Amino acid sequence: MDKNKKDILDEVRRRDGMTVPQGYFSDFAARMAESLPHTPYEDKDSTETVLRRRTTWQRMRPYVYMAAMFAGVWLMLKMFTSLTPSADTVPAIVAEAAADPAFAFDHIDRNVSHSDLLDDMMQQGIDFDSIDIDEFCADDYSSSTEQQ
Amino acid sequence: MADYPRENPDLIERLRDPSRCRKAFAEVIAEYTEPLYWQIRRMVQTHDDTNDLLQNTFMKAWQSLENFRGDAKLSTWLYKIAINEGIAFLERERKRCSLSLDDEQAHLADAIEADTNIDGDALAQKLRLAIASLPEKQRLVFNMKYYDDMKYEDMSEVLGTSVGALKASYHLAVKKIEQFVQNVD
Repeated sequence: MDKNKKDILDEVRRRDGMTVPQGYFSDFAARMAESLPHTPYEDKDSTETVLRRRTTWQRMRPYVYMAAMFAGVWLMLKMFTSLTPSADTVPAIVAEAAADPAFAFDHIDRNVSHSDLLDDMMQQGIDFDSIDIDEFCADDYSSSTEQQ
Repeated sequence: MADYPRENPDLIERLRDPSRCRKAFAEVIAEYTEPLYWQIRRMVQTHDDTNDLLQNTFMKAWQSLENFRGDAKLSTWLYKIAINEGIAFLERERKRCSLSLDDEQAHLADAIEADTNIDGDALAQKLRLAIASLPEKQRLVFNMKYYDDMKYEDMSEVLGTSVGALKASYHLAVKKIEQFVQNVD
């Protein structure tokens, strides 16, 4: 099957078997050039069309706009990256917030066990020196004694 | 087959000068008559139809010369006009003869069989019939690649299709030609 394909395409070698009447191309070109009608464009002033020609800036403009667009996108991405807290800053911020028991009581779901939270924070590598553990877990202790 | 004329910046400059454009366009006609003729002929198959469409192509190019700003290649611009003329002609023929797309392939095959402007090369004739059996887009892509050895990038500009799609079209066309030849043999 593959041989058939190669045979015909290789053997034909860009011949299409079509011909034209003798002298057709040169006659056609001469006839066609003679039969071109007069167009309003031919009456225009050459200098006017020279002025209408695109300047270097007009030619470059799309590329400059495209470059500006990419630069804008790059700056935007850079800005978002700088605004997003990095892995280094997150534990410090969380530790600082968690160190304030009022913040913890206001913002942390009270149904979640504080010891679970502390476990989780420990896994995150948060510095516990800044947290008063007894005060932090006091609520857990009091709620469990109330239930008893 | 005729190769592409090389892009000539001086010719394009003269085409854009109203006082010199007529003479420059005569040069364009002399340079592009043959390559455009074969491009159209492979689409519509008969010499007479090709002759008419070639005249229309040059006439349209001449009348819209003012709009040719030189951003695209001259060859790309002319090929686009010629191919659009060919496609419009085939569309008109389909409507005139109330042909479906399948019927159109049979119609082209009939035109090839009836063509008197041939050199009697049986193998080339068989390939023409195989190409006529292809869908229109694949036919165009195959002709441009196989006969004109046109680069996919240039073809992409002329046909407004991605290079990947053109490569796929050519590959499919070759497969179908292979199938056609096998069935005929």
